[in-house]
Amino acid sequence: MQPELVGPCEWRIRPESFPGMRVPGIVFATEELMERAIEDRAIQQVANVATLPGIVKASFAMPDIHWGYGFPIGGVAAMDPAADGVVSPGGVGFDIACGVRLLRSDLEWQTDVRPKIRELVRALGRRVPRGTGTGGRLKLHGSEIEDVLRDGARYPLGQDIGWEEDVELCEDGGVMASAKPEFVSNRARERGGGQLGSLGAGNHFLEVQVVEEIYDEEAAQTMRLIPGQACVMLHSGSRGLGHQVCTDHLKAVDAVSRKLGTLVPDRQLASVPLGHELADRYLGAMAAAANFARANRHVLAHAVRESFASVFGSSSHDLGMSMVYDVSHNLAKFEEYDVDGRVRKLCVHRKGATRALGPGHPELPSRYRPVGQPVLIPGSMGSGSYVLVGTAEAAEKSMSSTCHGAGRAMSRTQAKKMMSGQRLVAQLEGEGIVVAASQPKLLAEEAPYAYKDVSQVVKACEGAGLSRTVARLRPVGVVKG
Amino acid sequence: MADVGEVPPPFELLEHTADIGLRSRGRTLEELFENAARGLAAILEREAARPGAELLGFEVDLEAADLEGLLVTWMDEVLYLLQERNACLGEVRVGEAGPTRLRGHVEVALCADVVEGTELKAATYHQLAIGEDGNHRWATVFFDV
Repeated sequence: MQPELVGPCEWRIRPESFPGMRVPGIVFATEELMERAIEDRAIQQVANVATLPGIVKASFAMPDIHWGYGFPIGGVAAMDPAADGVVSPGGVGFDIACGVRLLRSDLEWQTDVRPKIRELVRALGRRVPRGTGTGGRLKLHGSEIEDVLRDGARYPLGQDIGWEEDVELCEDGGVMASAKPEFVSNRARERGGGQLGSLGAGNHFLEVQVVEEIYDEEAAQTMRLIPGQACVMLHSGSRGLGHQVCTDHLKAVDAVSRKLGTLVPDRQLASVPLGHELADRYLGAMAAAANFARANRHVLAHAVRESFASVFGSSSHDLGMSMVYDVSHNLAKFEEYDVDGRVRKLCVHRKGATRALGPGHPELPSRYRPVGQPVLIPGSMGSGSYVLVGTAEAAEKSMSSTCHGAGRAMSRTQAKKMMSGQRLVAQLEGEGIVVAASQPKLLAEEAPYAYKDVSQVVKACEGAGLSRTVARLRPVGVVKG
Repeated sequence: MADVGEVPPPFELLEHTADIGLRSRGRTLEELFENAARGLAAILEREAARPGAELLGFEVDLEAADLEGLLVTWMDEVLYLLQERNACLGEVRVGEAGPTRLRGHVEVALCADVVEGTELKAATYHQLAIGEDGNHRWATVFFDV
């Protein structure tokens, strides 16, 4: 299966390349990133997704593509309900609505934050529950879990946690109205009940960052980002609740899909037709889990503001700690696209890919309508992160999608063999990055060398026209599970 | 359990770019599933219960569409018992495994040390397989990290 270069950073896998492909595969990548994707077996996964019923235009993959389970990481697939399209819980993954939130501040790195960075990272480490087996900041009792599943980030806001603009600047206004909490199992509720406001482990993190470079003045101004300013980026998801929602529905979908005789090249791609009762149940439960994820990041952001307020002796309002945006990268959503001259409502799966709406899109908060949707791209620990903005062109090219991160380049076992967690902490400290890790041994799994170069990924996205680069941020403090 | 010959290591970990895989083996299906539980505990570094800690026992009765699906369901159950309770694995016994039902007993207890193993989200159906090789059964399952 040899992808052909068909445009700037755009490769095509012909539908004849693999039996059962209904549409071509389109992979956005530089030559180097494409070579890695081929070695990594991820290209085969792009072809596998192209066999799903009702897929429209192409099976897409973003430049941070790598081997996943079922879908490749970085995979995007839009299904048409009017053409027997399906929904696949594996195309969203276990960490439903895992995503990134960015807070900005009026604090300047050199004069304000640098002298207090150790104290700040310690304060964040104390206030942000993280790692395996930890409870969240907000314990839910009785029917409160129901409220979170229904109201998303609006639930903690109603408890005087966070700011009103936090929900306005969150994707979907912080709540997916399509949520159906009645399809979230008791076990999922049990797992989530104690975890609201917890970071988790693995690649989830919280970083104090400094705006290092601005590439797009207008968009940066709209996002209130300036060089030298301190920001906080956090990456977390729907915790055990989301994992259980996926587990429960994947098992049910697998059973139905086998009964219906739907053949898939990888069982993790099990799917059910949109409109089937089980599809409605999954999408309702998935939206409820997405609401939990948004509430989770909302509560975590509150802990960040409290930490800053305690260290700098001013309220978070006085410190200007407003939100830039919050966006998920594991989700399935109904969105409208012009396909072959006709507007169609499609179920767009994004597995490790970020929605990137262009300027003027009606779903954007009014602040961002002139410039497009902010896209938050965390790099590996120790390397830079990026803020991008969606383009109008991406609607046609990638179903308004772009990358979600650097993308792994090395297995966790291999990464741990190369360097111990303690040595990695020392190395990062040597580079001026203060680290608070509750499980230092695990830190090496997330070492910068285990990831691709995020700058190359972001450049490929821009080269292909999927998003524009707005700002680069570098980490100065890392809090990890 | 009848002795039906020598077997290679009861489990080994498999490489994956983002996630992690487990290959387990056993002379019988029951032993295969028991060893898969031990392999999962090894990935999580939840193998060492605190000496003298109280053991909590759980009777497990699971169903799935087929044997491979049963392995995923079993892995998710053991993962739930260990990770959500922040516990380590004690005894694990599988009395009946397959083709669509598993009955067993799992004991968990407080861990001897602070756990620094990989946190897993769930078992997946990706490259899921169960087979036979000479005198032993083998199974492959990948987990989302």
